[in-house]
Amino acid sequence: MITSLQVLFLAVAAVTLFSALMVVTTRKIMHAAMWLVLTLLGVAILFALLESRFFVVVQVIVYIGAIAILIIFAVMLTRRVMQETNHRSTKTGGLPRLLRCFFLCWSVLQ
Amino acid sequence: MGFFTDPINFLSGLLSDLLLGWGLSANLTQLVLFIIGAGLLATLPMFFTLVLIWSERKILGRIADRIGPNRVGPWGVIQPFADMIKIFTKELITPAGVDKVPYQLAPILSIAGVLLLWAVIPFGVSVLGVNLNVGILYLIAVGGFGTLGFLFAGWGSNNKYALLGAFRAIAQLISYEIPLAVSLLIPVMFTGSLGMNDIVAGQSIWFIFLSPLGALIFFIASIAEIGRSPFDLLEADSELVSGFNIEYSGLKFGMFYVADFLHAFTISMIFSTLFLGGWRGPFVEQVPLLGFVYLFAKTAVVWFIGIWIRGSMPRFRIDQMLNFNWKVLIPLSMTLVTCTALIDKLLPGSFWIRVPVLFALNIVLFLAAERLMRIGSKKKTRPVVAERPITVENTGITEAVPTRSIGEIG
Repeated sequence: MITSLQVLFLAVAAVTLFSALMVVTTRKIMHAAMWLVLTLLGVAILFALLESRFFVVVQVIVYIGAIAILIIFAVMLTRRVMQETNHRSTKTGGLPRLLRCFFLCWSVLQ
Repeated sequence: MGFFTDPINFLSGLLSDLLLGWGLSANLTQLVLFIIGAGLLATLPMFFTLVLIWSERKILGRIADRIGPNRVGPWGVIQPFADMIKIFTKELITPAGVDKVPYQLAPILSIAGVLLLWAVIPFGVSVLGVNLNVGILYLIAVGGFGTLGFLFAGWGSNNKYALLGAFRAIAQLISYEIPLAVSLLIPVMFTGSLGMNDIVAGQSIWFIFLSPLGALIFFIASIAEIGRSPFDLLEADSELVSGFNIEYSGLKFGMFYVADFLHAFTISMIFSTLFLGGWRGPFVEQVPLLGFVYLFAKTAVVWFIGIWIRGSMPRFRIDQMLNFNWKVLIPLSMTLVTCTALIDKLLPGSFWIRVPVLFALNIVLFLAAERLMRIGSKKKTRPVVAERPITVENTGITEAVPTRSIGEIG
């Protein structure tokens, strides 16, 4: 029997992992920074589910309030941030990237 | 506990009895009550903003020797409702090439950053959203959402002027968050707790008397945080067309507008909670409803002083604004916190020694800072044209261009 708290945890964890994945796969660097904000917020909610209020607040202050804003600020100052064309140096197709993600997850879970 | 002395707790008790009578479990009842409370706490300030907008326009009008809104209803009280209905009917224009998600998220974030502050403000002995034991940190954390909203608005709008406006706004907000957070430490040190209600309960003497300089720093930094004059370079209406929010229209602009007006009142409320004793006052134990009255009265005074300053002070230049923060407020607040911590610990706990000594310390630090600022400002006259030698090609004679100082021009 899954409690409602566990459902909530699974949902938040899924969103956090998905946005973390988007941080490293999205093409636009600004969007990556924004996905990072969502990831950090997800971690804060995970802390909230563990009922540690201090960690929630510190996570939001330090990571979202300071680090994420600093990163976004720095990204905004880079060249051609407004443009769509933001090619990575390594151009690979969908399958190798998927495999890489799979091995990354696998190695983390080991 | 009757309806007239403590209506909030009376009604919530009534409602929870009713729900329990219907056979709901205790947890579910608690959840329903929390949802209703959160809904009320998020909705009522928005409606209260209508009153705020009207009275602010009226006061600003008086300061500028006008009568302010006076056509719709008696003394123009219905004017904000008319404005609200007008803004509801306006078209929501989404410019071409915007980054959809950040663009739409920005107004929501900026108003959420204000409304979330209301969750921890204590309105009475037992009337508060959450009794968070890290309330002060929560206030700073939530401020980050507003900053994020500005960033998203500036970046998502696909407009370089919005982007520049956002840069200006963020530079100000991030800088002034430092003295704000540091001066927040002073009430925390006096009470030994980060919870808002503990801080109010600990103010048998208002903290503005123990640390007037801390209160002043907090007040200045809070004016900068809400972007009001003399720190209103975020959207200097007369020479720049707004700022980060120029691409927003209709209700989305309305959300920024409401967030601005509500933030001014909310931050005054935080000021009166931290430094003016919050809901404390005579007979508040017997009649908890008086807590609201006291809190709102104190808040109204602080808020009025804010408007007064807004109506009468000229705007800072951006370099003055940043210099004032980094060279005056931050060193001063750091010094104040250090000295207060040392002296408060060294002093005996007696009331008649502690209060005057801490008060005197603040005055001394203020005078020293004022003196240093005066010396600093005397030294530099900012030349408009730097003195530089120019060479006349034929003769090889070098002559100096006369230097003009700012004072001669203005």
